[in-house]
Amino acid sequence: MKRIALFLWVIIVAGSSSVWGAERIDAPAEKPAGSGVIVHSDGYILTAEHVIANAKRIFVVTAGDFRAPAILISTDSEHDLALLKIETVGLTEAPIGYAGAVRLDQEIITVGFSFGLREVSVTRGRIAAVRTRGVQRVFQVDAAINPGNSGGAIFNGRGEVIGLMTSKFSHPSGIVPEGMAFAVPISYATPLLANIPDFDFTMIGKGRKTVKGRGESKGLAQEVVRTTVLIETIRNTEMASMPPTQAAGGSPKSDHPAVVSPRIQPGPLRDHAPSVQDAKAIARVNDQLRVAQEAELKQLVQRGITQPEGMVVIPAGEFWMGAEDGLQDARPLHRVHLSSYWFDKYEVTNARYRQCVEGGGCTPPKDRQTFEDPQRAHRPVTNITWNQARSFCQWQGKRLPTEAEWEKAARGTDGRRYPWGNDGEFMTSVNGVEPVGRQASMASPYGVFDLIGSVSQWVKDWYAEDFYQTSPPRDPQGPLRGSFRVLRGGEWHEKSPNLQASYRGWDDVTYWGPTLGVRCAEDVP
Amino acid sequence: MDGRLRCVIASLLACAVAGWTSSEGACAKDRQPESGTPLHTILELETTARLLAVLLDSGRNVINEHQVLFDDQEKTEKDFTPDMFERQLLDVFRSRSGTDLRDLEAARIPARAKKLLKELVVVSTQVVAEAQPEINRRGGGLKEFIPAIFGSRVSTRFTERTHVRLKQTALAPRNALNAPDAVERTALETFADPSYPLEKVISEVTSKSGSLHLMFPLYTTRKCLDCHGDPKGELDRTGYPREGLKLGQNAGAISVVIPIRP
Repeated sequence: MKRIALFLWVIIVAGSSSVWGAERIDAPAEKPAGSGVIVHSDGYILTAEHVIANAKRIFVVTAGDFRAPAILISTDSEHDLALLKIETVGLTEAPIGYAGAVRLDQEIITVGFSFGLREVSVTRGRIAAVRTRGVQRVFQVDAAINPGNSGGAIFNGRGEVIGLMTSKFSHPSGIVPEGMAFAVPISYATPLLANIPDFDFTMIGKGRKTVKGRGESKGLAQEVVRTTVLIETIRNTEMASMPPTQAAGGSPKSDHPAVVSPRIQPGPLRDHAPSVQDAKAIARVNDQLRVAQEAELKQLVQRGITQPEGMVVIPAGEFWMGAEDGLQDARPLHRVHLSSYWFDKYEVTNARYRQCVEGGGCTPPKDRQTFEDPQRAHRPVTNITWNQARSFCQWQGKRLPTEAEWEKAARGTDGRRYPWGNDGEFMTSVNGVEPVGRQASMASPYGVFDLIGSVSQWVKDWYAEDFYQTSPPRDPQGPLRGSFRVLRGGEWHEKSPNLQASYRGWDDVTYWGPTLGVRCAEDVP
Repeated sequence: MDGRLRCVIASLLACAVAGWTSSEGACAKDRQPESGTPLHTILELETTARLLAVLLDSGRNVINEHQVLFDDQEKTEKDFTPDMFERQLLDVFRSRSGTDLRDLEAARIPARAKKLLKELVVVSTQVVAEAQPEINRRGGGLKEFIPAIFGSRVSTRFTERTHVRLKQTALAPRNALNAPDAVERTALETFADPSYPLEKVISEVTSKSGSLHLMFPLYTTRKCLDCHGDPKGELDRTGYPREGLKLGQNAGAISVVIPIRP
């Protein structure tokens, strides 16, 4: 009884977690509950994120009818983890184990409040499997787990927490297989634990602090039970949980005059009815960008640096990259600071590429006929692989631009949709690949031509769908590795929204085709 | 949120199919305790499996780059030598994985991976060497030597020689031999969900199976569309009906099964 008095109980009152949705039990008083584990004596509790998702208020109920409100310290929805705190001290905390030492088939103990019953259940089982989805690993546990165990810990034989119960398979047929549950390895909780002011990370894997009393084997079950908690939440049924909007905070202040606030671009309506105001704002930003560009160029000339032929300077500063309403991989709209760089005004033409072939720096494009057609000398070179594109830029003493450099050169600093503004109707219909530099009205505010509606251009970066979510705010260089390289610039036969400046294409490094070309960039010394 | 959950459920389905009968509780008792493989060994196996998949896919990449050359009607000496193939294969693999197989000693990868990757390079190059008459054959229209054929020849031979099973698979494969098993099917269904993150592998190792099974997703690139794109149902150049795949859509997977004990 005394032991039970030490438990903190947390019960989900209005469970709407879809994982459990199919198997919810309609008992009026006892709803499926979530469990948690005390990770610090000052009232810090680790649980599964879905247990407290959408909760308006979280309470902790102890056996003595003491009900303590808990606050949410931090969550990690990707790994289904959350850290709570209640105002108390002197709790029995569970030691944290080293997930890397976990073995397949290893014996484990799970503790939790099945179905929200006020009796804690201790189940023995094994690590039945280790699964990977993407980069995240989960332990499959063959202990009997029921709704309400979610958020409860799994312990190793030494009583250390090695994982947190996260979800259980529920089949549409309603058949729930026995003995199959999943736990997030405790190592994923490290960032959350870092929120605890004096959390001792050196103790991870060092086992339990010496326990007073004897009877080790019996003591273990008691100890793991002492640290397991049950919590009660009141759900916010109206408000759907919105992911916290990513603050652009922390990025350095721009030294560029023309950064204006991002336009939250609504639906495609804007494409058809661009307001006069919008056009005015675009014109104003264009003027600012040109002034900044001229000033930068002047400064460079004073330093004795001359403008490379066929290139423009893009002054250092911040710009808005990505799109809030774009495709998944273009989200979120985020601020990026780039150092100043030179950028090719035009795509590389067949004629220019020929010089490289004749000079021994490049291999000919894969389709010789198109390349050798004298009619096409001033059209963009096509049918080159990423490696050929890179070789060309290197031969010229330049380099491939990064994805961010391409985008800034294309849309300036104000997050506009197209190089010329936000008006999609404005696009001149182009029938195939034209000679470069024809469409002055479609040039970017920095005077770069044929960014949209010509050919796609290889850039330096590897493609990763989620890169913008973790992109560094200064001079991002893309992911370290990948399978595909990024292609920028909506191809002429593409349809909206793939013609927007934020659109990210990609293909195999060895791909070449009639719609793929290149332009180069260079560092400003 | 909804999409994520759907993923979770889809993946859990995989688990169910894989372990439905065995996980009824009885099996745990028969096993000797603590026979388990440490997590770090599992992670090494996973790295190995992933690298093998990337290497096989890199070979497919190289074949793709030269496809038009093979199909050239006039030329009989295509100059696509096994040496040249190997060089390009190692280059593509190095850029994609960061591992230079020319300097295996220095590579920071598991010892078992080194041995297997070396073997896969040998097998891939052999397959290209044996395909020389096919590649250089005059006329006769299109060549059979395409990425998928290359991949299946390499996979078959590699599996015979190493006991590590490589396989290309898809939900609706053109080659019946590539049809997915239950585990593969579930992973493929997960990949097919448009909300599933790109390029994220799915793997599992169970104490029952004694092996690690990794599924490495493949995507529809521009080149694939020539034969597998629109208009759906219309016969492609090889006489198969087009699948109507869209650019960027999942197109299948490379399946790797590595026994835990070498």
